[in-house]
Amino acid sequence: MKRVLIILSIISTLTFSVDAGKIVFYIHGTFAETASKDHSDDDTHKLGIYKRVFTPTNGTLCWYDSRNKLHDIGTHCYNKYVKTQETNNDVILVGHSMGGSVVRTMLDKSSNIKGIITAGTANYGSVFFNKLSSGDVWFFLQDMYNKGSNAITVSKVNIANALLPGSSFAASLTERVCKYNSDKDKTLNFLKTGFNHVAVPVFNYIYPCLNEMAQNSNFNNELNAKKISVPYINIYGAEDAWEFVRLLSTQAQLKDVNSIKNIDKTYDEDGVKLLNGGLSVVNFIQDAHDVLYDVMSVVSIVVWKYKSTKELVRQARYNWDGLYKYIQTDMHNEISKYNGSYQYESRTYRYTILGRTYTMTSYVPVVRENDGMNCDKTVMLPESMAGTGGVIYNVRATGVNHMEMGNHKKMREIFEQAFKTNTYGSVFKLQQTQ
Amino acid sequence: MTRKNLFLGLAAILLVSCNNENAGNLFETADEEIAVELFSHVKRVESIEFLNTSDYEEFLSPEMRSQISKDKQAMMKVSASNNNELDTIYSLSEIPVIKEIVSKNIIYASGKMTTITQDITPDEENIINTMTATPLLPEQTIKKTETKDGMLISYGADGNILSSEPYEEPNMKPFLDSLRYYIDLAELESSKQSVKAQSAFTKIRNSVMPAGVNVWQMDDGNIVIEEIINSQSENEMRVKGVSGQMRSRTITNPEMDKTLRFELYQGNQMVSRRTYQYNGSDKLKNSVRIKGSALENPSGIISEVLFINDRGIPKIRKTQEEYKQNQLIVHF
Repeated sequence: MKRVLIILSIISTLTFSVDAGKIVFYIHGTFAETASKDHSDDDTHKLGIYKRVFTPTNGTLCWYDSRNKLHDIGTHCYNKYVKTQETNNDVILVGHSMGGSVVRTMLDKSSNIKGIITAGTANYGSVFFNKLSSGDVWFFLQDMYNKGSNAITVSKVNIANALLPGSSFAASLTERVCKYNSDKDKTLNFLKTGFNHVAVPVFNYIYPCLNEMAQNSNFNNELNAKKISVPYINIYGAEDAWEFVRLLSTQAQLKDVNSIKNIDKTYDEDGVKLLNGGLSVVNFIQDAHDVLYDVMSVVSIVVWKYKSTKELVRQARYNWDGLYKYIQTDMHNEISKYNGSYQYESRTYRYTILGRTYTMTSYVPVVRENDGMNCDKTVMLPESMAGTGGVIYNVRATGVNHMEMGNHKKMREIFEQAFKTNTYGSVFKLQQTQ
Repeated sequence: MTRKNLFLGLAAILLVSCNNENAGNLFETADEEIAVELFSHVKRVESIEFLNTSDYEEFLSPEMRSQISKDKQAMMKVSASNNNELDTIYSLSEIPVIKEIVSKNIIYASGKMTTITQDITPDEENIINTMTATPLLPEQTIKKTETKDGMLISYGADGNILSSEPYEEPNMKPFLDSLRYYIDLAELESSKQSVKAQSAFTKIRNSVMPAGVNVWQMDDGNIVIEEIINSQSENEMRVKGVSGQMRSRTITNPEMDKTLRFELYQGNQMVSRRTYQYNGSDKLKNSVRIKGSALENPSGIISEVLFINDRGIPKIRKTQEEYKQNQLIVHF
């Protein structure tokens, strides 16, 4: 009888080994639960698309309340979702943003957890969360507003009108300036609206998890002191230089972004189009100042008193130059201060103008790769953090902002490589589901 | 304004041949009568400089010296024999910018106006692009802006449209009429023998001075026009932290057909100066042409504007412009 039991036991074990599946749990980021009324709508879960594309029968979306500590959220997710399904299964945990930190807290809870994937998780803490509470982020908007207002006032008040009273050129310049004024407000409103989507929940409440997510928090220091003993795919977004505006554009259309109907589509262009529109208007006004200046050169040949006042046109143009540069580059770089991607590097420039060659060497602020919210430096982990049985893959998601990580072609390709091939080892490769 | 007030610059215009050299055939033009054409090809470099003694003595009032002395780095730079020592740019607005722009503006006799601006800055000189690990691709960056037929369109490097929006076309007819008025007036004045004999300075001295304007001649013959600035936009132009009435000073050559220098003051503090260079050898490329005559436009402009940075240190925003073409042609 004892032998029979042993044999049955062996057979039973073998059977279960053969049948053991891989199940995947998807854990959203901060405040994502607020987008869903009943926590069952895949379209409102940041990782809902991956569940439906790759694991329609063996994937689970986990929901949690962000108003808790991260370890407590991890315990909640484990007890409610993983524990009830893990028996005889290999578990893969996938987390977006803060959900990735939650995933890492769950590693100690079960030996069934065989691999983890995180996307845009600030493993070294988020500078953004540090800065939000101080309200610093608003300064860049204010700065742009002031630069715009200054350029407009200097241009339109009396430079154009005083020089050529009654001419339609002055009127047309004023008209264009006013148009820019309206575009500027549109741009500012867009930024404010988008920013509210991202920041207002954070401003309105003090959540313990946000303190834990901040840079140099005890939570992160303790987490990073431990080795990671399972294979870990650590994805970081590397958007182009307009990453924050792209992030806001995506955030403003979250419903479409997360919908399975729109798989692989990006929704990051609206803000960029708006800014390009603003830049082209500024370009146009710069040009108008040049025209006005040149024409004044003709008129001042005749009317000598215009010789000095025409130079004020040039003075006014420099304000537009400053505004152009600010919209094109500075405001994006300013934002990088808030996501930790801002660093100083020594650069040498050489240029020749007016017959002279200049050489300048300076420490200048340079923006690291980032997804609008977190940069590569705060996301990537060293391979030395992998413990026995662990391996860390830091994977770059080209052209993906933080809010697109639930639905972007590049991200889906990475998930496809993980779930359908051996690119990141066999742990992540899923069996074909029925 | 009386005719006596008019400066007869046109009389001093250098007569040159009138071959129509425009900005190349970058742009096609509509088959309409053209009234005014402006072609420009300029390389512009913006940089931020310390108020070092060798170059900016004129800006260094006792107040400015006092402010600089509070900053160790600024002092080091001011006293340094050259400016090539390693420096730190704290504010993003201080990042040097190099741009090379070709533009064409046409005003048609009908009053219609078209403009095209092309950014042809070589990639290796585009410093802004090196400020980020993930620069915008050329096709994402505005390389050309065009206004035509009521649309304002911007294009990327591949000719792809980045933005397109309608804009109300200005009617430039009244402007052309007023320009024509000034030119006719000058022609009339310059034809008078009594006026022809007078020097530019004499003509001005004989004219009625507007309030707040002073004109005098320096020993070298150059003429200075000083004007008190009382404009609504004065406040926006002021350098913060510097007090005093704003006034401008324009220095021209004795013939008054070339601006040599422009200065802006707040009280006794110089806050801006602009110096003009003329190459003299290529008047067709850098010129104002009216009725077959040409007046030389500057081939180079260096503008230096004082500002107080976020850390309270006075610095100079320097803009250098080199014109490969700066041509205005009036066809009437």
